[in-house]
Amino acid sequence: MSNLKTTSFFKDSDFLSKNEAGSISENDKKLDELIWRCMDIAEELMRRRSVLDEVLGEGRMFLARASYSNAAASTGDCLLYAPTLDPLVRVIERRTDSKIEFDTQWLSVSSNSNSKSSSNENGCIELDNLSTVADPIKAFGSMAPTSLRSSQAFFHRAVDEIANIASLTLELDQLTNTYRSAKSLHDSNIRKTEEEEQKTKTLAEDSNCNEDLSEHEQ
Amino acid sequence: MRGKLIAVIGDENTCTGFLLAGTGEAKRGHSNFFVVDQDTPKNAIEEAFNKFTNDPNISILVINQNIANEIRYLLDSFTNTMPAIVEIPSKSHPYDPSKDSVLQRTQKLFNADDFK
Repeated sequence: MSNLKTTSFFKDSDFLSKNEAGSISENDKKLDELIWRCMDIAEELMRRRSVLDEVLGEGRMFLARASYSNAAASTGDCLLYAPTLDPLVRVIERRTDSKIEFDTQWLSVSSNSNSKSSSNENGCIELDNLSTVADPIKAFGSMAPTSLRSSQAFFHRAVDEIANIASLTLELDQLTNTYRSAKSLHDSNIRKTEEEEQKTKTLAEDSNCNEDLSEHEQ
Repeated sequence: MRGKLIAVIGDENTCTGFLLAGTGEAKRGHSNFFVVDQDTPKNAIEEAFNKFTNDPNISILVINQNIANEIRYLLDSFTNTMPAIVEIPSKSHPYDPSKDSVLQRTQKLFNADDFK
């Protein structure tokens, strides 16, 4: 399990105390920028989610059609219980200064013309001795129903959308953590400033009282 | 650079779809997907979740949200960056953003005071 270090969108030193150049209002501005960025990402995330819902719905619909047209065998069994499967898609993690992005890398499929194949009792094709990655749809034979191919295309798109959503979710999570720590530091600075002002005010009042007393004694 | 895998914890329909797309890897009894049906015990789902989240070869874990709800306590306490967990709807259970663990953390961050 990898624990990636979260890189702050802003550094702690960006959040200045009131006595330094910039003042509390600069910190407020930066916190606002963080909030706006979070909202932008959340909006994009919801848009991507809507697209994912749509492609998953279409993919499932075509899968159901394929199941109806292939009444004898369960559409899932050929893949779910395959002894070996090689992935057609891999995820590349791209790390920049402040975030991690996921990209999908799709491998080319074999033509399957030189591979040996045999049919099992469920009517599924078992592919042996493949030197390149086989298209999973080949497990349903060379004449796989069109609806199965359509379903595959939609789930293919779903995989790409999921990678985008994962990137956005990760970025949102990181920004959330950055905002939380920045806000905490900012609030701490404000409290310190207020305490100092209170102390200064109290000292000034005490000083005035002492002056009044000494004048009165005179 | 050799990329990593996408793991799936889902119902049969979901797993089949993603295997059809080409996310599946299976060899020597090890696979990157776990099918959940109505008879699947909760501890088996927990075991699959722990197995996939501890596998360094997995970059993204896709899970049906209705299944995620059964092990919500595990997702809520999972704060590592990797793998990224993406909750998706199932055929009969639409996606509810208010239940998504990651979005919940973001929602809790902001309150009315932040906008004063």
